[in-house]
Amino acid sequence: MIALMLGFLAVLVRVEAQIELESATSLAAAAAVSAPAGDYALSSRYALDTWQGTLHYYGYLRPGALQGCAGYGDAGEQVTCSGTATLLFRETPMGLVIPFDLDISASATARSSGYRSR
Amino acid sequence: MSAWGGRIREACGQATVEFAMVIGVFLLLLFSALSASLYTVERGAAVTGVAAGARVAAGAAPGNPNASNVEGATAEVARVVKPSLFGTRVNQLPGGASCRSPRQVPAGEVDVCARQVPSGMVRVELRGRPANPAPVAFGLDWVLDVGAEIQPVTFKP
Repeated sequence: MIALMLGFLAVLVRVEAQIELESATSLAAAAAVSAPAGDYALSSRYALDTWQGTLHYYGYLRPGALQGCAGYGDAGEQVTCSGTATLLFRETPMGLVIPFDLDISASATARSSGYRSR
Repeated sequence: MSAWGGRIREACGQATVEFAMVIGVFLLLLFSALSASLYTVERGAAVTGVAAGARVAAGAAPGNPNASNVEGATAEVARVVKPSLFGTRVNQLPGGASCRSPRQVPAGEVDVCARQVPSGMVRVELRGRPANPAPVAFGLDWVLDVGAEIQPVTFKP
């Protein structure tokens, strides 16, 4: 019964972690296109700051890397970001039923305004 | 009294003791599962809500294109989370205010706040103790503490 309960909790945690990762990656993509067009460095920094400010390390979730948010050249272009994280099941009681860590990923695309200044 | 009647009485007593031992564990697991499921729904809504609020905050405030829309952010978070925070009161704090620590928020309430942090980012948070259907005796007092940060739209001078 306890194993069933831990398995059930593990599923809930997996769903919850995916929501958080999707959310942070989506915001990072939105932040990337909030920088002026053509400023690749600023766009990347905005995306990374947003991702790191939203997705925190806690108990069972360790943020991984954010990739692909390298900025955009012209107004109207889009940016696609991919984020990864690791679910640390082994460091929780859920490790009794899931004795390994789980890598999860998410990606998001944002399009800049067609009237964005450089 | 016959020996047979005594055995039946003993068996009934044993069953009652076993039931008393198992029912507590069973109810704890049942309420834990119910409570954890509800918490997952509420936390999912909270994460989605603060992300939606952050998107609003990244835009300009009405009438002031140089300021982030922090007032609009708290309203957006409240709009998203209210249908999913069953029986929980959502306190929208004024723009620029900080949320209380989750343990300082009364049970059954959550605070929603948005403010600009020194780094220039806008931070939107939801903190508090949502209503919980599990009896207090089970000690399942969940806390919601989620936040999102985003860089507001910027223009070169």
